[in-house]
Amino acid sequence: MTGGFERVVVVGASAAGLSAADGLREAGFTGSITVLGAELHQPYDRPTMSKALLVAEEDPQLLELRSPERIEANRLDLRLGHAAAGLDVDRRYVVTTYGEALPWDAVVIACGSRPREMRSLAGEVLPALRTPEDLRVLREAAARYGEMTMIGSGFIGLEVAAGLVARGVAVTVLDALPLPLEPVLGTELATHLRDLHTARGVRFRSAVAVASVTGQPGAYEVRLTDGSVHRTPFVLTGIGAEPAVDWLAGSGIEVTGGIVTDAAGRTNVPGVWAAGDVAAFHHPLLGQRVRVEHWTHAVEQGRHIGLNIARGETTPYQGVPYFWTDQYGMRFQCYGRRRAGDRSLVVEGSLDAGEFLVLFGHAGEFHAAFACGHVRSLRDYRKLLARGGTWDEALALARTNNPVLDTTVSCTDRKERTTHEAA
Amino acid sequence: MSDNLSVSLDGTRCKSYGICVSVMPDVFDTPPGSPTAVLLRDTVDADEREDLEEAARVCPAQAIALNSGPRP
Repeated sequence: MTGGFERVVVVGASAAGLSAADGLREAGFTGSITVLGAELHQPYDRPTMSKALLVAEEDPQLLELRSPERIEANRLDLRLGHAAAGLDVDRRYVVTTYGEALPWDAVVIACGSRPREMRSLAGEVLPALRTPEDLRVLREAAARYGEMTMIGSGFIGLEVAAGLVARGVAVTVLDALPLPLEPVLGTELATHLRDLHTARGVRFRSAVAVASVTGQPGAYEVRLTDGSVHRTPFVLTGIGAEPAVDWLAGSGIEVTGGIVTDAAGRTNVPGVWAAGDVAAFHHPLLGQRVRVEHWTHAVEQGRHIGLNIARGETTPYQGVPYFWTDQYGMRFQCYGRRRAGDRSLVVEGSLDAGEFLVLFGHAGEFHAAFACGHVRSLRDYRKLLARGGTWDEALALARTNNPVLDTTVSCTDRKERTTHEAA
Repeated sequence: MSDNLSVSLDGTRCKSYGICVSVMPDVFDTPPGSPTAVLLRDTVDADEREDLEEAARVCPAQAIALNSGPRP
């Protein structure tokens, strides 16, 4: 380690921040690492909140993201309940909500995102799900009212809907999109997913936006843009997340839809890096600037940035984006990222069978592999995506797994064909 | 440094997320109905180290541990 580089401040004590600290130590950094965590909880596993913990019968126990022993072994000065309030890039301080000024030689901003707020007409922020406190409110409301309305149908919204319906709660999903998650999944898969929900009793009101919400827990009125009014005892909003960047106002850090970084994770200010879903970075594989809001991305990119800082390198991060979602006991996994206009091809299983592997691509490019089951096959597609493989290579791989594959059949055709056969 | 790495899975932490299976399907499996993932083998070769380390890092439950050298 070069002289004069001794103090790193990590803003954020979740997946990206703790992984950045891990990366620093892994690469031999011996100086001080101060980690600011806005929440008072020991760092916990967030994905499980919309999944297992929502439906747990007993009081949910948060899962530690790092054991105290490991935090100690890594010599992290973890300050819970301390958030960053400002960044002085000239004098090189992070100012905390306690009024402390922490000097730094490098900063990793990994403070994540927070749910996009929707307010009632009276100005109350409507419930969302991000923290353990939110989870408690949601579980209590589900038990008390037995009925609720989800505003938004992203992954969180659908996981919550699936979890609550499984517990006998009547769930209505309101969404401005015609189909849930259509931009991410394409029409065929999004239809398949919606049908899974409706078959279990979830009611969708799609392609209609919320104009206003009035009321309070126990009695809400949701006025929709088509003029109708939807009454519900409880609403939960799941309309996306926004990078937590308010505290950087006036700091000189460039923010455009997230903290702008290069592929290595550097912001426009020397010594300041950003990791995880607060960062909008140039992804070499995706060929554009993106904010990747996936858990494993926060872990891997966070560590990568820690390694870069400790080694004095600027290696680009090019991990393949990955997400998973649990719905009705099924696990969907996706590597890569579907793009608008992509064709889709079922290469293993079938949508009707409920186990399948679908490839997305366009104009000779291979963009993503999405599977329910067929996990073993996913690995090869993941490797292919990581090295920028082509659509033809993906098809060749598909044929080795399934020699009789008909590569002319899209999701839609296949579904229609099986429907005709069934008729 | 031994050529062989052994891997262990903490059954009390594991929540059967299955991300490990998509990274290393030859080492991890999530059998239907099992509350946790299972190890198909507990040693991996040196050239699999990188994948195994990644599987350990991206486990949300932090249930995977690597140990260098022969198993005690």
